[in-house]
Parts: sequence; C-alpha cells; structure tokens
Amino acid sequence: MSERTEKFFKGKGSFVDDITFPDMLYLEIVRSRKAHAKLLKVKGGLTADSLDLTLISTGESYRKGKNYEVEPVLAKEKVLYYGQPVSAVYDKDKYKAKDLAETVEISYEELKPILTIEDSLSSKPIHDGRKDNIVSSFEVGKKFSPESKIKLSDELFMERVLPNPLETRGIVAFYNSGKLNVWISTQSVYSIKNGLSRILGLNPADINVYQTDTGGAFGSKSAVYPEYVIASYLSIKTKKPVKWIESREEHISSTRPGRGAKAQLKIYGDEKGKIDGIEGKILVDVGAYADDLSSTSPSWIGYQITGPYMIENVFIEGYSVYTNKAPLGPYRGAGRPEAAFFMERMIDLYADHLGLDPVDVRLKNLPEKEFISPTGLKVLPSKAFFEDGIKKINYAELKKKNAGISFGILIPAVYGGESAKIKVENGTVKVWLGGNAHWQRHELFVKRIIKEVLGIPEDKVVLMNGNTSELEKGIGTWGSRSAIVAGYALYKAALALKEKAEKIGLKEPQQVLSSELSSEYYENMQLDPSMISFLLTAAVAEIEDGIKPVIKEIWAYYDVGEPLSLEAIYGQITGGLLMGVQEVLTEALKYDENGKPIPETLSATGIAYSINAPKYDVQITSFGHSNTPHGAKGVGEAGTIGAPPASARAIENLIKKRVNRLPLNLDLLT
Amino acid sequence: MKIPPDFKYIRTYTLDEYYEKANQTSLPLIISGGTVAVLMLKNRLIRPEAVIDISQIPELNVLKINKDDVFIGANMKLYKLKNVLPNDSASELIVKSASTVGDIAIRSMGSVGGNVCLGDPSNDLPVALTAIDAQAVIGKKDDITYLPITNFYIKPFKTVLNKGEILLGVNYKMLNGYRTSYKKHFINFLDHYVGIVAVIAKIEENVIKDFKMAIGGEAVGKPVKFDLSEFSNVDEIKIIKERIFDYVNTMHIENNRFGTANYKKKVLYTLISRAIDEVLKL
Amino acid sequence: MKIKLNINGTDYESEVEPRMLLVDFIRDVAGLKGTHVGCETGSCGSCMVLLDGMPVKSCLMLAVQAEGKKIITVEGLSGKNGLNKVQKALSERKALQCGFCAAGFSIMGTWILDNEKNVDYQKVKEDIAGVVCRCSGYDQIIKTITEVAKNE
Repeated sequence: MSERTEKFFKGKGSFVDDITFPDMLYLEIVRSRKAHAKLLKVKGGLTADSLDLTLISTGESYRKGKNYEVEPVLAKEKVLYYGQPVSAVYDKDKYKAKDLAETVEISYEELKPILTIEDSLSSKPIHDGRKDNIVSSFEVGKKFSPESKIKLSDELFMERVLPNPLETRGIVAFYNSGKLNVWISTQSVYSIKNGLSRILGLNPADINVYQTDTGGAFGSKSAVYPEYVIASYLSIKTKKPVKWIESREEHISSTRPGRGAKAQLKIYGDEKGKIDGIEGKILVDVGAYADDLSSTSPSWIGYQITGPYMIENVFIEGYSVYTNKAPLGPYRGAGRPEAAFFMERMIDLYADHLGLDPVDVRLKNLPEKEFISPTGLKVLPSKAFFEDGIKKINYAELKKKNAGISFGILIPAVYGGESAKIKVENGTVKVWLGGNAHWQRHELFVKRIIKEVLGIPEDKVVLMNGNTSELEKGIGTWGSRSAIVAGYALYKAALALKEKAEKIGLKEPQQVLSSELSSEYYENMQLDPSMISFLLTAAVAEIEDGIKPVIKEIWAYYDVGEPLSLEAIYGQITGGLLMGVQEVLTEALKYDENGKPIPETLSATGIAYSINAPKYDVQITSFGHSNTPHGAKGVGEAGTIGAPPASARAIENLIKKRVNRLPLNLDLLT
Repeated sequence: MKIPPDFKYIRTYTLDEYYEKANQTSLPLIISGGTVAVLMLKNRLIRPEAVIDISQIPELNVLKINKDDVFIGANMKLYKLKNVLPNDSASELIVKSASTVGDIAIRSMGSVGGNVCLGDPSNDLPVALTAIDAQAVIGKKDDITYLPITNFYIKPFKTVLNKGEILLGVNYKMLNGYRTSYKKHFINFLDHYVGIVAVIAKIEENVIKDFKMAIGGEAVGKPVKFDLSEFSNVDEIKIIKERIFDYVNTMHIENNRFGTANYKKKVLYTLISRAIDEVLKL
Repeated sequence: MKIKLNINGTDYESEVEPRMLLVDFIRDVAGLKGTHVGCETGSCGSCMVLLDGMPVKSCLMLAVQAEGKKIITVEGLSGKNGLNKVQKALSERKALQCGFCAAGFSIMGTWILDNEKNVDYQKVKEDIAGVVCRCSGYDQIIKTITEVAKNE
C-alpha cells in the first residue's frame, strides 16, 4: 500500500460527487432570499407542509426540554436567515434540476432582520413564544470584589468565519431493500447515522453511513443538516438514489460559520504585572437556530479564558443570542481561539499600561504547580515550556521586528472517547477509526501505532474511510482529539489483536499479517490535564506598498506530546497558522443591511492564497506526554488558537493603534 | 450548482457573419475567452437568446505593429501580450497591467476584449489604456469607429457598445524613451481593487518632457486621466502630487462595503505617490 | 448539439446542451473524475486542466469552446511510468492533506516545470496563486514544486 494521496493524482479518488448510480436523482434546495420574513406562499417542490417530520436537532445528544429552537428541515411560516431551505426539487438531469429550482415561487412579508449582538439584545424575539433573543446564559467562575490598583476594560470582537473547505458538503442517499445507505463527506459517520435515525424514525441497524473521501471540513461537516435529511427522505419516498452537492454560494449562505463572539472584559492587576482577576461578559451570536454546541459556546469560552495562566479570580457571564443569520457551528478551534484572543489582548493592554514587556507579564502569571482555575479548568505548570520557547524562537531578535507574541493552550475534545477496529485480511491490515480523517492524515499515526505494537511494516497498513457497517460505534473527528482518543483506541485494539494472535501461537508480524484476525476497541475517555498542549506563537507584521498590512513571518513553538507523525503535524500546524493569520487580516463572513452574506465567491470571503502565506518557522516539542499509551497531544487547532492574537498584536505594534476587532478595520491604517 | 440557463450557441467565423447573427438575436452575449461571460451565465445574471462565439474571427485575432501605432485584436489572450508586443514604453505599460490580471490560468483564458468591455472598475487594461490615450476600435456593419478609450466607458459596467456592435480591438501610439509604473491595491475580502494607478512619463535630464497618468479601481469608477505635460521640471513633482491629491479630494468617493471614503483616499494617495516616485526613480 | 473533445489523447463525442460546462463534460461525459468542482467561479483552481498546453479553469468554460483543442486532465499527466515528476514528488513528500487540490497543483506544477526558467520559491509561490489549498498553508507544496523544478 502506498501513499494515500497517490490515488488523487491518478484521478482515482472517491469524493461524494464522484459517486453515480443509475437512475440517480439530483436534488436542488430552494432557499430563502430574505433574512427575516413571513412566508406568505411557497409554490413548487417539496415544502414543509409536504414533509412528514418532527422538528430536528443536530448533533448527537438531542433531548426533550431543550431551551432553544432547533432548525426545521424546511422553513414553515417564517424564514429566519438568508439561505434557509424552503423547498426542494429534483430531476434525473443535474442541469434540469437547477432550472426546476428557479420555477419555485416564494412570496414574503419582510420583517426587520436582526444582524448584530447589540440588536439582538434590544429587539423583539425572532422566535415566537420567547421573551427575548437570549438562548442561554451562564455564569463561569465566582463573583469577586477586586481591590487592585490597575483596572482596565476593553471590548473585543471576532467576526464570523466560514469553514470553506475546498470540497463543499454533499451526500448520496440510497434507500433500498429496507436499508438507507448514505455516502457522505463528513467528520463523523456516527453523527450522521444517529441523526438520520432519530429524525427519520429509522432503526439504526437499517442505516449504513459510508464516509467518502473528504476534502476538508474544519468543523462544517459534523452536524446533521436539513439537506441530508431531505436527500434521505426523498430516497425513501422515490426508492431512487438521491444526490445533493452543495454549491459554494450555498456554503457561504447556509453552512454553519464559526466565531461571531464578543467580549466585554475587565482585567485587574497590581503595578508589577501580577494579574489579580478577569471579569466580564462573553456574547456569542448563534444565528437563527441553536444546538447544544452553539448554545453552550459562551460557557466553553469562559471555561478556558484563563488559558495557561494562574488567575485566582474569574467571573464571566456568558450569553448566546439569536440573530437572523445562519446557525453557528464549530470552525477550527471552536471557542478555543476566542478564549485565547480575548485573554491575550487583555494581557497586552495591561502590559502596555504598565510599560512592561508583554512576555515578562505572561511569564509572571504562569503557575508553578498544577493550577485549578475558578472556572474549573485544570492546567499543569508551563513556565519551563514558555521560557524555553522564548529562547528557541529567539525572542530577542523578534522584539526588534516588533513581533506580537501569544501564549495559549489547546484543550482537546476527548469527551466521548473513541473506537477503533483492526481487520487483517489478504496480507493487509485495515483500520477503521471512529474519528475518521478528513484531511489530517491520520493514516500516518495509524501506521506508526500498528508498527509499534504489532511490528507490521507501514506499507501493509491502510486506514479506511469511516464506515458504520464496519465499525458500529464511534464519535468523530473534531476538537484536535484524534491523536489522543482515536490513537488510544487503536493502541488498545492493536494490543488486543496481539494478544489474540499470541493465544493461537502467532508470534511474528509476518504470521499475524497472513492471518484473518480482527479486533475492536471502544473507550470512553475523560480529559486529563496531561492532554492539554501549550502553544507559543509569534508573528511579525509589515506594511507592504505603503498601505497593505501583511504578516511576514509566523513562529510556532508547540507542545505536541509524543509526535506520532512529523509530516502530519507540520502540515496541520502551518495550515492552522495560515487560517489564524487570515482571519485577522481579511477573512470574514460579513452581511449587508438586509442580512445577505456579502461575499459571492470563495475568494471574496477573504481566504488565503499562496501569496498570502507568511514564512513559517515551526518547532515542536514534547513538553510532557498525555496520559495515554502513545503519549500524543492534540495539534489540529493549534495554529488557529495561537496565530490570531499574535498577529493582531504584531499589527498593533506596527500601526500603533489598538486592534481589538477582527478582521482588521482598514480605517486604522489611515 | 451554478449552471447557465439554456441558450443557443452560434460560432461565427467572419465579421459579417457576426453582424448578421447579432442583429438577428434579440439578446446576444458575446464570448471570446469567456471567463466573464461564462461566469455571468452561471450566475444567471444574463439570459441571452444566443451566445455568439467570436473567438474564430480573423480580424479579432490579429496584432498589427505599424510604424507609429499598434492594433491589438480583441481576442488576443492576456498572457500572450508579453511575448508579442513591441518594446516601446506604451506597450510596456500594457504588459505590466495585463500580467497582473487574475492568475496564470485566467490570463491564458481571458482576452483583451473581455478585459476592456466589461467595464468593471477593477479591470486592469482600461486604466493602462487610458494613460496612453489608446482608442477603442468599434466595428459595426460597414463602419469602423476609433473612440478615445475614456469615452468608451459611460459608468461602471456600462460601455457605449450597442447590440450589433463589437470591439474589434484597441489601437495606441507607441511611445519611446518613457518610464512606466503600474500600481494597484488588492483586498482579498470581496476580491476587488480599491485603486489602480498607471503612469507613463518622459524624463530627460531631470526635466519632465511628458507625463500621463490614469487612475481607476473601485474607489474611482471609470478610469480618470491626468495630463500634466505643462510641468517642465522634476522639482515640481511635489506640485504634481498635490494637484492630483487635490483632485482626489474633490472626487465623490463613497463609504460602502469596500471601505470608507477615508481609507480609499489614503489608498489612492499611496498608490499615486509610489507610482510617481517609481517613474521619477526617487 | 454534437461536440467532439480530445481529452488525454482520446476523442469523446457526445450530444450535449450548448450550456454544458467543460468541467461537467470532463467529469460526466468522459467519466474522468480527477478534475474537481470547488468553487464554481474560477476562484480555486480545483478544476484546472491544460488546454493546448496552457492551464485553464474548466469550470469557467463551455465544453464547446474546447473543440479542436488538446485537453490534458490530471489523469493524463501520469503515463506508462506512473505519476509524473511533480505528482510523484508531491505524493512522496506528503505535501497534500485532504487531496482535493491534487488536480490543481498537478497541472500548475507540471506547467511550471515545462515553461518557467530560473524557478525559485518566490516564483512558484506567485505562479500557483490561482490554486487554493485550504488544509496545508501552502509551504510544503511550494517547497516540493521548487525542488522538482530546480532539479530539472
């Protein structure tokens, strides 16, 4: 078995749009062109009235008694965001399906769209039956009465950002012989299976979900979206395979963006640089409908606001609020970059006020031993890591270039644990992980673990795409979890296989390879502070051509625990760093006054092209090992956590104006 | 998916054939390279009765280098320009401008005609052509008109071309011994150019013999030409800049999704300043 | 309307609508799935093919515009000896992550190798500015193509 991407160079990939069946129907979704309106008439196609479904929720853990409104499959009576699915049409011919979509008539009675957090708090509720637009509120930490000499406030904001993987969303659903088979570009075949089972009232045993080759996701492909339900439903009704491929325009209006968070914070400290406390409000714009993830986002951000630091007093009030925009979802980092940006910007404000070196202030506030933050976050001491890092990135030189620095942590999303299955057949070791890879090159750590535990050479090992009929239970890939949880499960599965083999007298790797053995392992896991990685990032900014701010260099000194694969790690770090840089400079999802997303093309969303890439200097280290057999820590989101505050600070140093809003307000350059 | 609406496809092989078909069609859309036409079709911004392919018409595929002037046929691909245009300064400015359009693939698909006829303030060639006083060569049945390029544009996305008319190409006088500069400011967000500046000037022993500049971009709209050949001394560079800055100050520039008027003006000043400095080798 | 396109040396003839896009002809009529649709507006380069030796974005062309021209897709870059130099290097160096951009970088990388002189990191960085990689941050891709070009 050779390198996984080789098949793509031969054109032999199997992405969801590559799948065709005879008699396949192409599904087109007709979407709302208003951000907030009553639906007076919908004529044509499948509508909410023709569907026989209960309201859906997304994600795994739908429970009755939720305090939020769940996105309906098709809008009924009202539309609450531009791009919300209203009707569905289909045809055997892809082109004709598009023509058919244009024949659907929708008439609206427009209502005033709520487009900002401020508007949301002061406007009538967009959902009938609610008293306001607050979805949920939290208190994290404990109220305190600071008597500090220094008290500084600021308001910080991160605009919404779209995941924009290169491959948009897509699904092929085929219901036949009593089984619903689904091929889908996804981060979790289990999320999809469980969601469809619940929503369509199907027995989970009657649903098979196969992950197709997936062209990136960055958070956008974990939820159970309305389009997946509609495609499956149509296949059940027509008994034909139904394909839906998202257009980029649809991704921009209707896929869940991330970020969209505001913080009003106050930092307290003494005159020597010791921080006494942090308090304030964190508000998250969850869009028109919510789910467990988005509605708890403010508390998740508040939970990790103290980052690697020892701050004794923390009190955060968190609010998630409705607006007339697409529902919020996770975007690479999903709360972690927000917490890091908010805290790091406040520390720089504090350091500047005292005229102290921002690095010295940060070092001063790191714990000497394990610290439990008032938020409940447990972190190990990290001073040695950061002091080492400061030297390794040659901070003394970087200071001369006005570099911006950030300290951060990466808390992997280990909750739920993970599963793994190994099957040896025909001289090949096939592996399935509950957390299927969708760009991260999991196959590299898979091969390494198999080699380490079973002694089998890497070219005999294949990581298969996610598949619920092969591996029944699992969670998914997000939150930088896979090396830890999937790696752990795989390690255990490999040990189990080894034991099985030894029991029947197969001791040599070659013997195991010619066997037909298999093993499966599932473990629920808890977050252990040993699993948290530390991140040191530095950025150097320049003004090009007298007017254009760019990040010229980005330095990373990241703790990855035991590095399972250098190429995979390096690629994930640089990819994340570039995303983090770009969301400071130009990448954002903005809306016009009518609630219509402004960007009309992929490039107009402000993503980075090759010419935007800074010079990368990435160093990794093992600052401790995670409490798992393989010792690895998460890395996927590291760059998106560390780069934004470092880049914002670098630009701030250059233009000598405070940067507290992302993306950069260009007027600051005048 | 973005899929064009239905239309008839007509490939024309001569100009007469084009005039005939265009006049017969109620709403024709011309396609040469197609990068813009196909995009407009996919966005269903236009639903033509017929798409008329002019890429095979010989008169549009020519390049004529005469003693004093050059004619570039409308079908000329942007990437080809650097290989086929002569070495004079006016041509140099055109090449500088064309080599910044999009990326290599867009330049190998896109035509001069497409870049000139769309009328998008972010298009490159119109600004360079304005600076060198080029002419749009407009053809219609039994008639050819030479129109100064500044008169070719009415407003953003609107040119003087009527149905049945066609841009045959552009014509410009060669200039020798001039220095050129082409500057623009691109923003990833909304992929547009805030400002584009093209300068061509003749400097001899610190004396400005000739100075032509055009500015364009989203902040400006259709290209604006500055002719400052009355200045005769390089010391007056400060005055040239001031003059142009004053003009920019009086321009009606809007606050909109592309930025505030303040920011756009700052961009224009910066681009103008740098372009002038480059040409004067400061 | 009946059109005939030459793709990777083979003629494909079919009755198609005038509005059929070149990328759809390549994928659905010729059945070559290696060329991808990423953005539909010519902003990402996933649909890149060579047309008479020049890179073009096939999602921005009508199939009929490609009549009489030589089209090479990602499948046509590899020959009897397997992947071509650029593809082999990108594959071995694990420069790609999700792999969706393989066609784009293969085509551009091959074009750079065949057409550009005095290639260095900066030149490659500029030349590939029409192809998006959302996963990797571009560094490994640029380094790999530069190295292959320098060794030519």
